[in-house]
Amino acid sequence: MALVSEPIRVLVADDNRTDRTLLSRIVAREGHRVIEAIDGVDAIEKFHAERPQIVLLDALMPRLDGFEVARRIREVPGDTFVPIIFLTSLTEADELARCLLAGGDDFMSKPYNSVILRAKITALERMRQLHVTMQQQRDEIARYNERLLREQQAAKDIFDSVAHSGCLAARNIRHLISPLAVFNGDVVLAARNPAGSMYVLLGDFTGHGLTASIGAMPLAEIFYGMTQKGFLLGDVLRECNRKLKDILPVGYFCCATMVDFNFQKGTVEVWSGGLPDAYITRRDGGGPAVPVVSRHLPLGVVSSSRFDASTEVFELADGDRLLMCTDGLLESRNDAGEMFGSDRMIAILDRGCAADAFEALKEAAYAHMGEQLREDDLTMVEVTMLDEREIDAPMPTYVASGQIGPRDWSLSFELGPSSLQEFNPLPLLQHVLMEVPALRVRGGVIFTVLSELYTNALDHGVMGLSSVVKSTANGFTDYYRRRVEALSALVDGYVRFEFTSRASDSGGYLKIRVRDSGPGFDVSILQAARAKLTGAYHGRGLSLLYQLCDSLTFHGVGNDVEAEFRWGGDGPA
Amino acid sequence: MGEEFSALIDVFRSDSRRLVEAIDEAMAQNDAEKLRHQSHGLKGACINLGAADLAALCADIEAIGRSGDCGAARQLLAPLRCEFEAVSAALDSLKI
Repeated sequence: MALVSEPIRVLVADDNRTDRTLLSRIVAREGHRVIEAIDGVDAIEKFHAERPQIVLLDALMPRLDGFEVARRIREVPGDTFVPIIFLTSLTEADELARCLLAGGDDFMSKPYNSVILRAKITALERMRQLHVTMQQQRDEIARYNERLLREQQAAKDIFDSVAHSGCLAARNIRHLISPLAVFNGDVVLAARNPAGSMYVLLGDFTGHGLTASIGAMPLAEIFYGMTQKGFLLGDVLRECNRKLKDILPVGYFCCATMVDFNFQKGTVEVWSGGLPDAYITRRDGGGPAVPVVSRHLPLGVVSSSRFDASTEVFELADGDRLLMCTDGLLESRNDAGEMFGSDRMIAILDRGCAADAFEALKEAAYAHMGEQLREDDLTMVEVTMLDEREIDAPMPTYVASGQIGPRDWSLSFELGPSSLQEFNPLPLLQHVLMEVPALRVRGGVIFTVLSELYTNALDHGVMGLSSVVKSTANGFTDYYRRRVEALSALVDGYVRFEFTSRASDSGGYLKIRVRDSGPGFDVSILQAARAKLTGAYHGRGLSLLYQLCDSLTFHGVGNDVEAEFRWGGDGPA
Repeated sequence: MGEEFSALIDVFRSDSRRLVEAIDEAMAQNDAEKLRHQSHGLKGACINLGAADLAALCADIEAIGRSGDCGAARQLLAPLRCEFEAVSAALDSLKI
């Protein structure tokens, strides 16, 4: 028989001196330390003072009997388990049972037998050690679990601040993301670019949990970084795809729809890869919902060289909306296991009440799921076209890295046909200009001017597209189609930027001169049109330029335009 | 057990003599509860030391005590004292 390896402290409580002495001797001979108690009250006192590891307890004792002592020992708070053996000359079965019911772990009948006693102590000590181990493991699991929950909460806080952020609070955006969702892999990002457009991205990473959410970090970083710097939708998507393709394991990707709401032009440019159809709903009475179909593979699937960033452009009137959702909505099931499905969605959208569609859809989805409610997968975003002046989301701010910047400089930058086809020079040029401290406060304005000048030079100058098309029905859509065709067919031509800037402590100026290879246009018509304030040359772009620049001058045949910004007291020489 | 056994016999002799006197007292005072408790205690010690006849006598007195009739137990007092002395003498003979 295995002996208890470590000596333990044993409390022997018996009012009968003969029995107590006999038992103490037996226990001591086993190598244990004996603590003797002469009655029940003494037993309780010695129990607290000496912290025995096993208690041998006579059932019938004066002052406090063994049953009461056992009850009080069991009531001592804490996790420590102290086995109790009842000592008894009782022999009736129900009396013996009473010992165990009172909290005893075993009993021993007289006459005492040292072999039996040793075996019982060994067995109970094993049980006690098992209990100690269990407590330690339980505490360890509790600590581990607590740490896990803490870390998960912290990670969720970070995830939420990254994945559901930007200008989602803008008045033209409504979105639904379950607050219960821990890492469902759904991402909603929104931000304005320097030209005042609003980029919104809805993404759904494959899978759930940490893996699904981890890709959200670089995605959000690229989205916000590039949007703020003025990159085009396609540029941002191409970079997101490249990054996700690099970092995500095979089989993991991000279904996404990204849109560019241009409030000046009243258009939305859409790229969609792998998400369910988005819908354009017209403001009241404007006709049925228009599906916007996914035409691409999700982000992170194909290599950069095979990535297709082509977009579709839709015209929106003020009050028209675009509704996007992840498949969680369509695939949500009711009690009968039936999916919500796109038919139900379209039926709600076609009721012709665009303003209420979002709430109606949400309610219908909840009603559909009923008891099956799985809020963690319902993600929807709705963006409304508004007059730009009503948009409350802030424009990007340019953080001054220092007050020291270039004070006397010029830059000439010319793009040939291949560059014009594939490269967007605006973020690069904007980056250079934002090195000038005085220009940072006007970053949005300068970007808008830069991009208008470039679009005019490329579209109307180099490619000779007529802006009259834009003013017809479906004009913008038509225009964008022609633009894509013309751009891919481009074989010669150039656009040249020339920047000149001088700055002193009291003021300074920036001149942006843009020349293109096109034939130019009759500047006198423009001047006449300006005088009459008519809409010739689809004046929006040009009148905007006249508003934003301190001066705007056309040179030569009109293919050479110079915009000027001044600050402080110094004008150009 | 040697030395320890001799010591244990001494403990039994003095403690049990006290218990026998307490039983006598309980009978005289007609205290059934005390009678039951003291005879139960003596019974346990007797069982432990193998004094079966003395333990049986104690058990009888305990049973009478439980019934609450101290008078009926009185006639067992003389046999109890007699048997106790016999056990003590027998244990003494076992001492080294």
